[in-house]
Amino acid sequence: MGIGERVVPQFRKYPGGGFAVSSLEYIFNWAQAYSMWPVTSGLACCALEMMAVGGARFDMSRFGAEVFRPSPRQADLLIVAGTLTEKMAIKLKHLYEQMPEPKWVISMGSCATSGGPYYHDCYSVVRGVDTILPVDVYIGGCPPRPDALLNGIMKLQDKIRREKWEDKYPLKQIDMTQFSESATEMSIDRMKAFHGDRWKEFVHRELLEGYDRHLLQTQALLDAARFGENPEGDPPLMESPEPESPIADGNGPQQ
Amino acid sequence: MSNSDFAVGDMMIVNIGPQHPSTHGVMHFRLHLDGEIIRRVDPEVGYLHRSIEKISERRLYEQVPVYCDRVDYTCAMTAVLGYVLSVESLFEKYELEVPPRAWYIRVIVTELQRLANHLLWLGTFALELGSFTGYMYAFREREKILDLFESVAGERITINYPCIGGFQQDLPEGWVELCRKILSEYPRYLDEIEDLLTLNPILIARCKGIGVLNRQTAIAYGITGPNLRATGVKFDLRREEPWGPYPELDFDIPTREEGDVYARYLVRLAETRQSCRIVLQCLDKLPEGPVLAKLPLKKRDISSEFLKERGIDAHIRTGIPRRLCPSPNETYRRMEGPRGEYGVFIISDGSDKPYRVRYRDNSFSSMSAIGAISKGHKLADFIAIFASLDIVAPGLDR
Amino acid sequence: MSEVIRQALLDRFPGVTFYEKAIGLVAVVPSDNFRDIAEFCRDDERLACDFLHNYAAADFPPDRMEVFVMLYSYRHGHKFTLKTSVDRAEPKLHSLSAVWPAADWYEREMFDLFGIVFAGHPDLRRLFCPDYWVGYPLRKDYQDLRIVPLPEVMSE
Repeated sequence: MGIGERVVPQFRKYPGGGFAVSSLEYIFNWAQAYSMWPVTSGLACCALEMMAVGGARFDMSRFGAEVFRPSPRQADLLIVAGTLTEKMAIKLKHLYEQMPEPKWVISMGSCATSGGPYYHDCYSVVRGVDTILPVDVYIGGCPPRPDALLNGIMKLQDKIRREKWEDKYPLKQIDMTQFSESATEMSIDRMKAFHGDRWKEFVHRELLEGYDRHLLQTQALLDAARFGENPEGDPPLMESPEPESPIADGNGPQQ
Repeated sequence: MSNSDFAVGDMMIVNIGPQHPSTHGVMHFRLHLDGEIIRRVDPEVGYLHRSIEKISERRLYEQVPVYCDRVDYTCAMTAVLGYVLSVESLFEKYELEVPPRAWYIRVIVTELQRLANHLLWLGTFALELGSFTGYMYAFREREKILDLFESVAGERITINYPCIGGFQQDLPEGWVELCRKILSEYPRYLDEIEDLLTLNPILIARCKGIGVLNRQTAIAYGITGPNLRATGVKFDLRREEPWGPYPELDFDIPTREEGDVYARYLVRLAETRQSCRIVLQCLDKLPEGPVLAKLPLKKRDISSEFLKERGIDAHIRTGIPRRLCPSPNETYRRMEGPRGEYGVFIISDGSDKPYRVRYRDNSFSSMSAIGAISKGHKLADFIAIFASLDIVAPGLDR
Repeated sequence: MSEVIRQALLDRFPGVTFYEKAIGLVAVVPSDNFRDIAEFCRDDERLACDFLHNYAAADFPPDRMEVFVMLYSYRHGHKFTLKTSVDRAEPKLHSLSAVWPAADWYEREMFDLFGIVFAGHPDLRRLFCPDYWVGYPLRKDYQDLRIVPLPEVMSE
């Protein structure tokens, strides 16, 4: 009993059958919802559960989302699975910006949602991926069970199917200025919200100098990345000191 | 060519990671390539540095195991147990006596965790060498063990089952029979996986003679566990520094002489069979009785300045809860984790919070040696070498 | 076993003192000939410590930081700990990375998190924190606007 045997008699009822009327919006949304390709962006513990979802038991392919793409340029779903640290945040943002529109983000687990167990007393974790990226679906749990991730994907599919064309096309660029440029800036924002204008009094002076320097670097980096041209290659923030010439240690190629 | 981020002299630099399908967690390597030959590896770590050591200093002794789970999420039972053993060694023997049933359950859960970890490793190893079927098989078996964990503690990955003094709950009813059934079937399923992989010509071509780690290098870099045993050193902390019922159990320590990727693969598969043997013996010998020791709780020693600072009257001191407060001491208990020596170094200062905690995981040592191992190999082999060392980011970065 | 270790160290370095705690035997060594003692521990026949299995620091404000080197000998099967303390205002030690290659990353970690400078280290830069980081996070008096302190609850 295939789907054809059920659908074709319905068409036969109408003169000259063989076509159906639907809205293009419906068809487009339907197709988009059931062919999501996630990018492999496992960060921490939740990545194991994300892998388990790809395995035989939970089987993500039932929902049309099993094609994990190594390259963000071929993906339209970013599952932020795990703790996002400040060092990784900027890389994740690059990843997001490389993905083609339309794109969606799932924040998987407490750490990605709010910092989770690392909210208090921690100096390196970003408190919530939604401070740097727009998030569509949040999943709680530490880590959430694979079923919870499947539920999150189904929620996202519902959301996509409800989307209206006039909201979506022409594609509107998400206003990224509402998100912090970096995790450090986010911390500063939080301090401002908490202490008002006197926030600088509560901050270590050296740290502020470091922050200014960091802000300049980050701004230059993000400007370059946004227009797709980064003459210096890899982000200067992460750059290690110039490696010594490999020829000097005798392992280099013979000239 | 001039020196830049993409080239040094005639060498090309290839970046792998931090987001990459074949890195276990987030790591970043800069490979300096001469044609296809790797001349230098520059690993960049810290993308998962979650400041767990700082947090641990600000939590009670009883609260820290929650974070130990996350120090090494691929083997959370072992990670918590390592911490628990260290804290227990801060007390005198008569203060804290762990009941025998708890010792046996500890062995059972850590060996099951070793099985689950090696299966996870096997799945990802197979995936990185291009065998998706191997990944499916290994994850199918792993799910069964995770189900066992879920039924004891309600969580699959970050289990948080062992606690100081034993366990909060006993094993649920019928668990022993279920565990015995799953483990007695396990060797048959492992044979199935071995049929697929062990004599597979592609796997052999990609693994034999690749990434040879010699004994001196392994010891100099502090590598332990299966990676060390694959170089022919018969060293296992379950034999050298045993705890609980390990001396009474009968098991072998598999070793290989070659030290290459294939040897590490074979040692790990053989270890899962031994773990299976150990668990089955423990299930037979499992004694009855309580599973939680009586804890030596003390009233916190709080100075009057401390109370005055917080505006608390002295008479409220009676309401202060009793806590675990080990006397000033330093300790380091190491145990054989699935990927080598795992231990927690604790300095206590008499208060209810540890003064300093340092987690030692073998990923740290293996990662520092990866440059020495992969020098001179081809770029494609780097993935096989890296996968075979069983490095995970959280144990490395903490 | 611990008698052998004590005797071997005392024969060569009379200034070394010892104590025993839950960690086992600890030899307290002065920081100025730290590297020589480490080299002696590796090369001496009676000690033969070829395996550095843990290497950690702890901060004791206001004046000192302590560095623990945990050693094991595969040949003799014994283990002990070297401990030295450094001045907190200007923490400086000789690098052990030439003695045990394993020490390389441990020292980078201590430089990153405690700010201890290891003289003679081939590649001393931050390991975990990004390069722009200011301060040394595991010091007890580290201040950071990123840290949200956990409110202390006095009763249950």
